[in-house]
Amino acid sequence: MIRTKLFKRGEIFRQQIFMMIFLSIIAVVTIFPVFWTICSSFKTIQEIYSLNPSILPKSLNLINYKFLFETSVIDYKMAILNSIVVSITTVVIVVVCSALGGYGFSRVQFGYRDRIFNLLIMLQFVPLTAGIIAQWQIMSLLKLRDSLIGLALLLTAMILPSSLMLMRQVFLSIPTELEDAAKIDGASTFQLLWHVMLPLAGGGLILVAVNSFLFSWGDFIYARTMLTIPSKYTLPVIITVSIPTTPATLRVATYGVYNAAALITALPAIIFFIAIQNKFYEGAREGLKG
Amino acid sequence: MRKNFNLNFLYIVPALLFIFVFNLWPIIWGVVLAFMDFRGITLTGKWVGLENFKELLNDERVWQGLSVSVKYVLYSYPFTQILALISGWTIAQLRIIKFGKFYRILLYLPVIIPVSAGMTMFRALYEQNGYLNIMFLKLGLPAVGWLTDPKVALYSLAIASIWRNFGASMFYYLVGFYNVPLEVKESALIDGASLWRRFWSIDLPSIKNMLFIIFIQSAGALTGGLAEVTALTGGGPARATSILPYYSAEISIWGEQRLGYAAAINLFLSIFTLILASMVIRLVKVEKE
Repeated sequence: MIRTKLFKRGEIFRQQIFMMIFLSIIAVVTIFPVFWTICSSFKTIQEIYSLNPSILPKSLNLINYKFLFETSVIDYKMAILNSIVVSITTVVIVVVCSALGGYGFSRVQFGYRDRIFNLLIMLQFVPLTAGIIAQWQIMSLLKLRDSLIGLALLLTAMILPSSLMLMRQVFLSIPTELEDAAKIDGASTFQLLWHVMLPLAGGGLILVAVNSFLFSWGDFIYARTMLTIPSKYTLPVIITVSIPTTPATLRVATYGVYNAAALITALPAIIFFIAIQNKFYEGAREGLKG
Repeated sequence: MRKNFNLNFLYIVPALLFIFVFNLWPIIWGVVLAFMDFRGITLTGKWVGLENFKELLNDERVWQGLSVSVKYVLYSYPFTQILALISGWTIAQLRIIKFGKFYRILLYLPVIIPVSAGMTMFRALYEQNGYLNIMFLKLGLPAVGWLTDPKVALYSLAIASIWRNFGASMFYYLVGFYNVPLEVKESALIDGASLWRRFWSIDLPSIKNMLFIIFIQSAGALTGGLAEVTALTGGGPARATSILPYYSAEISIWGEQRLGYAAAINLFLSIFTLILASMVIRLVKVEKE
């Protein structure tokens, strides 16, 4: 009896080790492009184009980063600033609108409420290509193309349906007792939202904020279509248009520079994601259960 | 009471305003646009009926774009899903929660990294004298024009696309496997079911509904890939990676501003996708019975 148990335990242990080796292989392949990018961004031109490249750079050489911020004709500093403007505007509007809207869709009554909500769910399944041409035209007519705030408004509209769904779920999960008590004291619906619900929905709001940050900071296709003036380019746009198609030997910069730029683009997203990743999974687990 | 009704509606007004102007209305207007001749940024277009559709059926580049799109999905989607399914399941089996967390962060990173940054990373690897070709030379293989050879570029694009997208699907599988009821998992363990049997007859059936959705979505994947193509290859070389959504953006937003015609192409693609999706649904239903 004891022997068979021990045998089983050994087998489970072996299985677990095997699984971890398997996952490690996938993880190494997945991370390699990122790792290679980090290493290349610290390499000199000789190191990058040597025929016998080592994976790790010889030293933490900041030459590529210096080129990016000082020498380069392409204004990366401006692009970083533009990206920050777009992301912050988007996050602020999305958080405010989805807090109000999520509350509206969950805790108060009005006509057509659930029909409108179903429409929002459907909107998320419409592919990007279905709207982009008309979006471009509408943005042009409203004089919002080439405007960072305009881009932020567009991104807000694209991320809002899922944010509203999330906030609705958060509000629905808050027990009604507190609300009832406040109602008896004669609180208005807005007072309920402000004093009772919002303090309890903090976690959900953070998730919405980070989600919309990841979306707006990383957005490439809307920025690439709506922004045509180079001084308005956001970071994700500038790192692709700045890579010339000329052969490497004729370039001013090596791909070490582009890798450094890609890394600067990726870093804030990675940091924010790792900071909230636990909530991310728990939120999805609850959401998919219901 | 009536006043109350109006006030309550106000909560969703700000959100709805944004969604209507920039999200819902463009989708509706996109359909109307497909029947019009609109060039450039004007308020006036001409109603042309089915002219755009007649033109696109005879446009060689539309068919070429559609075939590239189909190939792109065939090369990338199945592998994305298989990789996502296997890695999601394996992570869910790990006993030590910390390790599971560690792997799921690492494998999800490509989804989090902005698409253009990810594609820039691949561009560096794919360069003529980039790391991949140096490795090939060392192994005694000829250098490959990853992004310059029309025969290879679509595969290079598919690889980058798998890298970028499998984490997102893995996330759904993982959540599904996490939600397999504990009693079911435990009874299987007590019965001493082998790893393979646990996967095949316990965990996989329990995410059956999710698998159906994945199958149906495979048709929807046809409309994707615009960001990857724009950032990695720009449709080249020799139009080898010019998927249909890219062609439509090329002749409107980034080019001759033929908005009506581009909208018609996108509508054509949407209808094509819907037909394909309904065929997949029918197929899945037959399998189910």
